[in-house]
Amino acid sequence: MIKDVSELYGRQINATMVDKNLLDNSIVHKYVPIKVNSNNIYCKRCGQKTPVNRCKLPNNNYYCPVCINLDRVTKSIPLVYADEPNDFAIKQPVLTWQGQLTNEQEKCSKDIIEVFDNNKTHLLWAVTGAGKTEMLFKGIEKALTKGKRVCIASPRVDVCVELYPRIKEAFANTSMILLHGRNPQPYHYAQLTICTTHQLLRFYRAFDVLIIDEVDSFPFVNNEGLHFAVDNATKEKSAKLFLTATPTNLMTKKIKTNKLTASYLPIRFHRHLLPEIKLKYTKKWRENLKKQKLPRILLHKIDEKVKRNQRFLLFVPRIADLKPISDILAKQFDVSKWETVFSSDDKRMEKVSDMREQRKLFLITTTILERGVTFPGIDVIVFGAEDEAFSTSSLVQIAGRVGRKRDLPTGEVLFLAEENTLAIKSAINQIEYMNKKAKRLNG
Amino acid sequence: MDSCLLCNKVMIYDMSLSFLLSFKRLPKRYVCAECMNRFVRIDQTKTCKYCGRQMDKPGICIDCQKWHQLGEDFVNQSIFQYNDAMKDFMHRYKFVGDYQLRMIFQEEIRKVIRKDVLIVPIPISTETEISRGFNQVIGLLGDIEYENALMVKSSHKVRQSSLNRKQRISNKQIFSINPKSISAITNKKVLLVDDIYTTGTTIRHAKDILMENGAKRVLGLTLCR
Repeated sequence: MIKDVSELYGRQINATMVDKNLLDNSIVHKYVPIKVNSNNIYCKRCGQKTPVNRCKLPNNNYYCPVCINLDRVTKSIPLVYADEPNDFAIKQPVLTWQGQLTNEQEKCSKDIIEVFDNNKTHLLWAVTGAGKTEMLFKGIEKALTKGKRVCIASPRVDVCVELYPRIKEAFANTSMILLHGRNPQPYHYAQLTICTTHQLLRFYRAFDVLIIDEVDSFPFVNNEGLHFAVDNATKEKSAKLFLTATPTNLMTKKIKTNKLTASYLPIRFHRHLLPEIKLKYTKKWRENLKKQKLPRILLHKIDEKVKRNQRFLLFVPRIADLKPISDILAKQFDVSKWETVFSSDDKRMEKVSDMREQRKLFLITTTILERGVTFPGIDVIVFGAEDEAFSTSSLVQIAGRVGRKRDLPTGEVLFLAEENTLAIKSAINQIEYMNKKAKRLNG
Repeated sequence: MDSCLLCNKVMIYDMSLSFLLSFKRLPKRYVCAECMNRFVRIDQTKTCKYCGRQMDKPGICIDCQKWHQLGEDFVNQSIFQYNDAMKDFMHRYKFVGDYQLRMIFQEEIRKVIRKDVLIVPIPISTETEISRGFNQVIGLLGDIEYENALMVKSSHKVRQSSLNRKQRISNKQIFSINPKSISAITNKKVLLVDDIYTTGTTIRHAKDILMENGAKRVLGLTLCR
């Protein structure tokens, strides 16, 4: 139950969650979130329409099934909000990060400051491991110093969880909150918000600066409700910065037609090239898997890595592939060396931290760990790389997990596939293309 | 194109040549195969003959042996096991209130309901009905006819799910009879329908009050156990 008005600043919350006394406060506004048309309803929180037969409740009420993950909004219960007052105490030094940027990072960092100052919308296109987060720091510092409310959002909860301690360290004197659907902190008003893109649905005209990391990833990409939420969560005059290593076709088109400005960084912060993809064929692997057999090359590779104590991630296309593969490996290897991970896995967070803290040698995972996570010095194997679960951007991201640390800048990226696909080809091409550009920068 | 009500992915239909040549209508699906596989059906050949839970072999489970000592035998059938997928479904359907999810299991319920019984859904409290906007059991029944024979006593405000087993069992009668339904239930074979059988206390309270008011026999059907 919300009792303090500051918890309503820039947010939109179901009236049932708000204390009665607060509802009578004159700075608290209300609105009915569902508009009923003849054949459909329109949800003002997520901006989406739903046919009446999908959303009518028996008591002549309506709800929005599109954004229901973030609590149900209905016609009968208003959403309440209070205007964002930017009521923040600014404590110096705002930026507590001591690091240095490379020349290339410095250039992008200046672009970002300019974007934030002038409330622009901009895309930062930087390769995996370019050091995107650090490039944001100066811009965020300036925005926070001016009393602006800042949000960094990502479609991926893992990315948020990984980002939060880094941002916390860099802005140690700023009030900060981490919001996501799993294990959420209780909400409090803070100048800096780190959250999943879904959480943006709970904000209304809150942010002066909104940064969206990994814009090309699921579930943000192609989700109109979340795109609507971006506009709703930001003030009318605000800066929006999108970050990606693998822009979608739509984004590149917008850049080409001057509808979106972009900064580009083709080289990693440690100036080593991106690890290139090795592709090997594994014929009829799916049929063989049913017979409880794995390709010899896969077993050989795993054996080699286990013997060398080389940590790695093994990506597989489907959740249903995890168990059979794990079961076969259990016959040959020590089962304490790995875990399987997928999106709705209850123990996902624990398993990832087991890997991070080196209690596990490898993880067998779906694309859920394709981005945002850094395990120093790992290799990756993609098994079944031809599957449509692996898009070009997935494959580039997966390859980008390797060689991210200055002292461990290389590693092996092996794709095992039934056949070569368009997605595999273009992933290989994208990496080669960026490496070519990077070589030019390196002189 | 339809997308799965649970994972939102677009569903792929079986369009094999043999299917096309069979001239069957496409079955209406609400959930993709991957999500559907996460639900586990109860194998009806190996259940507890009273509560209908899954067992290794047919018999009477420990809980029902205890009920038997109290002279409280009750025959119930359930369709699915209450596993993580079902827990998740119940959470989204009941507590989050995604009413459209009722459609996923309507057909399953319809298939097991016999014609010669009077269907009585377990009611929910008025407060819950107002905040949720629907009775989840009636939602599962779809267009099957039913008799609203029971009401939740208004003093009873505690949700069953917030009580532990002992508290639930010792809870006193929570239902009252709808006076308008007495003639409809008299001498009838009644099938009580609920979403879930946990300790069996709720459904026994309902049975007791129906028997007191003239029902001939009362059986149970729940979506999961």
